[in-house]
Amino acid sequence: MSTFSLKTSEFSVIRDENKCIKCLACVRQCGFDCHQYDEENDSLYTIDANCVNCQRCVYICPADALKIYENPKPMRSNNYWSANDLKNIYKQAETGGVLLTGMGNDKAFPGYFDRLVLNASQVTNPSIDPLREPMEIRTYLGRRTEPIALQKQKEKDKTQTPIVPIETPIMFAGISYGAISHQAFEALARAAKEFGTMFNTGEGGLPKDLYQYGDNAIVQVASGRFGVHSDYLNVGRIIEIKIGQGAKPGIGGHLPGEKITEEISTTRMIPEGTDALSPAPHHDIYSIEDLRQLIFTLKEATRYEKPISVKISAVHNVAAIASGIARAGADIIAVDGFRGGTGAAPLMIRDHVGIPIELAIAAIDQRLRDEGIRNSVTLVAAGGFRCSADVVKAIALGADAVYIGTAALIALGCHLCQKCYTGKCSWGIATQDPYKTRRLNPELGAERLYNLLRGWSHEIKEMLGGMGINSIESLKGNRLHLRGVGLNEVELNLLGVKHAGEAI
Amino acid sequence: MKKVYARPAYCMNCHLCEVNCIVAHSKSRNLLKAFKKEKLRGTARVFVEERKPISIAVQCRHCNDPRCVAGCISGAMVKDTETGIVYCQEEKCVGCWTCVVSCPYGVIRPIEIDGRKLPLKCDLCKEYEEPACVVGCPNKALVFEERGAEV
Amino acid sequence: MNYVIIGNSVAAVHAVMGIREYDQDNPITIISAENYYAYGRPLISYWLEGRVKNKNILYRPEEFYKENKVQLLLGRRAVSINPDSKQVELDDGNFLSYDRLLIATGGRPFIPEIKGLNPKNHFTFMNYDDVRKLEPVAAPGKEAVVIGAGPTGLKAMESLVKRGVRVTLVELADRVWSQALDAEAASMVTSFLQQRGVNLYLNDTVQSIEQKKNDRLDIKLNSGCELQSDLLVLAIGVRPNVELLKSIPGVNINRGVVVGPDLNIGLPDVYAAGDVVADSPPLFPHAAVQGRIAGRNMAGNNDNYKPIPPYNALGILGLNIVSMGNSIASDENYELLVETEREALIYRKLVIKENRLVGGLMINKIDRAGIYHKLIEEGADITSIKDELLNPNFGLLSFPEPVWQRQLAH
Ligand SMILES: Cc1cc2nc3c(=O)[nH]c(=O)nc-3n(C[C@H](O)[C@H](O)[C@H](O)COP(=O)(O)OP(=O)(O)OC[C@H]3O[C@@H](n4cnc5c(N)ncnc54)[C@H](O)[C@@H]3O)c2cc1C
Ligand code: SF4
Ligand code: SF4
Ligand code: SF4
Repeated sequence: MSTFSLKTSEFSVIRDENKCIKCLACVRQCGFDCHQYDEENDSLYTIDANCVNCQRCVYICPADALKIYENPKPMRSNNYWSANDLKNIYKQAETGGVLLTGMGNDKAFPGYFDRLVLNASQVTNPSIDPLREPMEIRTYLGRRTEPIALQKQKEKDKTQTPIVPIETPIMFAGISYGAISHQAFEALARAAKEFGTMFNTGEGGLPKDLYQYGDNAIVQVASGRFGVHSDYLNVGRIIEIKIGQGAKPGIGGHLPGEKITEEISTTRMIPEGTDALSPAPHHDIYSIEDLRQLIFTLKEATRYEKPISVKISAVHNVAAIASGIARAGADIIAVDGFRGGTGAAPLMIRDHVGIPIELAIAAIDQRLRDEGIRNSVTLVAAGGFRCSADVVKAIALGADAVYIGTAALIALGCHLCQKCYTGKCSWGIATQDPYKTRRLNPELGAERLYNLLRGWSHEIKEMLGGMGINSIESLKGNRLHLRGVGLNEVELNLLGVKHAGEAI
Repeated sequence: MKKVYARPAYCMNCHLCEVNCIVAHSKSRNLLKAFKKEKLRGTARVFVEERKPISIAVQCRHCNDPRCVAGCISGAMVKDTETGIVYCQEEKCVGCWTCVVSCPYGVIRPIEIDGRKLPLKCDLCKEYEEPACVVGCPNKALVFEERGAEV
Repeated sequence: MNYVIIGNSVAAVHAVMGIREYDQDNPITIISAENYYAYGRPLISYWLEGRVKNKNILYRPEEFYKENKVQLLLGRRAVSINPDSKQVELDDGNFLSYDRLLIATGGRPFIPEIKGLNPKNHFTFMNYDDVRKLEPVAAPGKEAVVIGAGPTGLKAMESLVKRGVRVTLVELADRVWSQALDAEAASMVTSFLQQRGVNLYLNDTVQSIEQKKNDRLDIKLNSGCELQSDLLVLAIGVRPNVELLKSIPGVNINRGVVVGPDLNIGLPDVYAAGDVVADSPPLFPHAAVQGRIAGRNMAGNNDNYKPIPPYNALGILGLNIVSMGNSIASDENYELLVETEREALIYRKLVIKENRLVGGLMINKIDRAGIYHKLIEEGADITSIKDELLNPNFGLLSFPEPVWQRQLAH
């Protein structure tokens, strides 16, 4: 018997009986046991309360017989209390627990990307057709060397790490093996290799069978130090110290023991079935000096062959922190905004901590310029890039490149049901259930990711051409190409852009 | 010869290959009509076997020495000498089910449609350019390819 | 090179295909006592029922012979073989030389000595001609007695019933189809038949026949029962047609002709296949497989026949029965897995001996039965899958992964 609950179903799953052919694909594919088959009566029914609107059944149904509707609010309308608030309170009143969620902040905070517009050339400065003329979007990651001095040749700096070129300013964000399936992980790795960009291992290590993708891997070192060993550091092209994550600034991570399968336990170097806990801070980093120590420890350990990235979440004083990171010897700063995704985060943290990535980019870029050290680091932005225009705007605001995480998972089929933390993902992405992970054929996944990169890259070239520039380098921090729409004075100032309608 | 091969690592137990096989072999070649009007549910020539977490789509291997052809008492079951496809000439078949017992893979489905017994088996969609199960598999768990001589 | 085949049925047809796999050119001659292109012998009952029309009774299309460069001597009988001169003598006095010879003469109905029995007052159920003769007399409302409730008798009974003839079956054993059905299955089949109006006499056989003036027959049974009937069909077994081979030195006859694994009969270049072979079940698939292998070997290949356990799929009046291997076993020397649903007329039984599947019997639920037959044929140890065997999901995945992976790769 189920106990009485105040929670009501959020969705109704409607099956068109005129179309349903009873092939039972929905029953077999639903990760949340919403679709049921009654063999005795040869009939199908749904348990709506189980539906998370992941749309797997809708997609798989060959007869197009399924629709999912959002139920009316289970309350009279109220401009202050939302249905979600009630749902959460009911849930907590029953469980006494912390609310968990997955994916990025979905609150209706105003987005700056949507209030920034791009420029295009007209008459005086002709636009460029990327199909006819060369257009450079290759991007370089790492610390630039000092400007060539005219005087005598300086001695070669032995601590200079190499520059890593990528064919498009888009990389795949750190999503750990464990949070996502091996299949999804492999798809990211393959696509990165095929396209000539980077994927990021996240904090769960790199499975041995994917070492072949090492040249395209950014290997993460996080507070839990999962899967970190000499081979791992050396097989990657770039090492990233993860301090924070946009979806959950200030807190650590928790991968429940059920997700720690044999392979994941081997990769992470922790016992099978035990919870993988990443502490909130690195226990050896309490200052910029400590961070510098770790950066150089890692550089020493890899003979200065690997650029070091430091990833932080975008918080209030992000610019000053970024400056410190640059000075601590990092070659790359990765900053993750408050729309950044996650496999699991406390809802309150995800939705209420951190700042928008647009403001963080602008602030960091400005600060580093002001301090004359902008060229000594690469700035990678992450957290909620939905389309190539978001990427172009981020670069114009001052980023060198971006990470896409959520968009990549969407390309693999994710429908943002936000249930990653349950491990039941119907799409075979955020799950370790071998019945579900096999739904994601890495060959097909890699192909889709490759296509996404290709499409976005092409669009970026078109936007660049429209602006009359033929290289992504010329866009970097070039905020003259941006105008704000409906932004106030403070916002315009912070972003360093003029309002639409204002001329140069 | 080109055959359909299953790739168990990617089979996700959706059974859409069965659905597509049924539609491809229906009169109407229309999903809704095939199931609702022609009542062809359960007549797929491919068998998705499941044993969680594994599932595989099994169909005729179009044997070199097909036992179903040897066993067929009416001469309805034949192996095309050119294409290698083993198929049943339904108008000749008397529905004795000897082929069902002959096939070592158990992939001939004994079915009665409108009072007529028919052994349904994969004919590699010989009337189509590519097998329907392969074309419709959402996860490329089935491939249609030449893998050289069998051992 | 010159190939000669005596007999023109399933073994012969498959021999032609076997020869042509390796030799596309050299002439093949088939001597056929029956005046027909090869037809599906078991189809004669379907023909009598009217379910199979003349054209569809042919086992292969007429063009088969031409396409395979076969010279077919219809209505000709081989009367002797001279292995020294490598010649076959025909009933028209001609001789045919061969370089390779196949004996595919099959079998003929066994006719016991019965008082009053003569060729005019009974029918056999073996040839197309048999049913062509039966057709005009097997009219609705007529009464028939069929002696022998084996597969042939049952098929004869079925086609007669379908024609509206009232049939009485007489069987010497204590149950119908006693070589394949155990007591349980036989009782299911018996009541099924009785419900359809078939009379059944078990533990009994015909003692004498008397022709009445009104063309009716008086049939006396051993038990003393007397039956009246319009026609009598004898279906009590087949005997291999080995007359051609008798008294040829080097050839062993043990009811059928004894062959080696390559199907050679002990004479240079002479092979045998099908019902004529000794110790081989007189069944269609076996004749086909043997024919194919003999053909290949005649064309110079070196293929061996590995005995296939007997199996038979029989449909009688809508009941589907499948038997394989030792399907009747029921004593304590065997382990039996059984599933019965009497009302639904479903019966499934598997016979296991020393952890190997040795037989199976299924009524009305035969899905994936071929896998069982393969297991019987391979004699594989089934300990690890025993619990799965009758499971509704039984299939390739019931086997260990390396096994099904290999199967899928075929
Ligand atoms: C009514 C019936 C139903 C059957 N049903 C089934 C069934 O459901 N399943 C099954 O597996 N098996 C069944 N059988 C058995 C199957 O038909 C035989 O096993 C098969 O036909 C044997 O083939 P064969 O080529 O060895 O010989 P046959 O089919 O017996 O053919 C031999 C041919 O050789 C000819 N011949 C003989 N001697 C000479 C000669 N000297 N010169 C020239 N020609 C000669 C004969 O006239 C005959 O045409 C059935 C048989 C009958 C009669
Ligand atoms: S359609 Fe493809 S994935 Fe689905 S059951 Fe068939 S083979 Fe498996
Ligand atoms: S149906 Fe079975 S025996 Fe016939 S060719 Fe296919 S796999 Fe082989
Ligand atoms: S190839 Fe065609 S006939 Fe064979 S299983 Fe696939 S869809 Fe069915």
